[in-house]
Amino acid sequence: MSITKIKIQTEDFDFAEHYSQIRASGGEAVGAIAGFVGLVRDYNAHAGDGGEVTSLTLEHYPGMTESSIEAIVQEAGARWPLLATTVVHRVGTLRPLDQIVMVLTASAHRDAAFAGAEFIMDYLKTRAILWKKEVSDKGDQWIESTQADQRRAVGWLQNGGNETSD
Amino acid sequence: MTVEIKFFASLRERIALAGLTSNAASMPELRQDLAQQLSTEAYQVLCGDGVRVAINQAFLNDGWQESVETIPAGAEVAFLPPVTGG
Repeated sequence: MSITKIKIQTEDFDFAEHYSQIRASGGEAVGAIAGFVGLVRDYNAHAGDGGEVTSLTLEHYPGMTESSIEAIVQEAGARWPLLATTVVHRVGTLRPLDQIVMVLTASAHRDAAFAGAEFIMDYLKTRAILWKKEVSDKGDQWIESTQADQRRAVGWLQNGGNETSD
Repeated sequence: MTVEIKFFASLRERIALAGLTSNAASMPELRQDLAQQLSTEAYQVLCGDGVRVAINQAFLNDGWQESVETIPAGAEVAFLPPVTGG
């Protein structure tokens, strides 16, 4: 039985604390833990007019956001033998270089842990019920889902998702 | 019995409304009611590409503009723009 922890929160998270928890909760079968942390980037990828991003605002739909991430984790668990998974996603106002998302996967072997974490991140981009708005010196702009992100999620359906992200 | 309609993220900002209530008992009734309660411009925002509707946090199987789904009394009906998480 796989252990899943999903948290949507405004406050920052401590990687070490979650790592210790998943290491303890995964049990004796755990031989590999893969971890990914995403940070808020320091440029405006969409406007292209030199507007400097000063902050990012993330909105969610309480309840539905959690269940959408739960569904992604379940799908990863159906593809790879994951023993435990942790997903923490922040919402609210974030600044460049703030931590925004963390995924930890525990498995018996590294292949499943790496692949499971990458799959979950790719699907978070396209399936999780979350919306990002960039606040720059040129004004606010809701981000649109990029085609590269869509291709990466679709890539897992076709061949295992090996296209490089932008 | 009223249902609660919610608009999220860019939809809420573009129509300058977080939500409203309706007496609709089905999606066709809701479309009719929204067309009356909202301005033409606001209704068109909801008709934009990729806008999805969830009743009590479960997505409709069909597009909301074609759906004939019934809406339970007291339900929460959410209009969601395309997602951009991660």
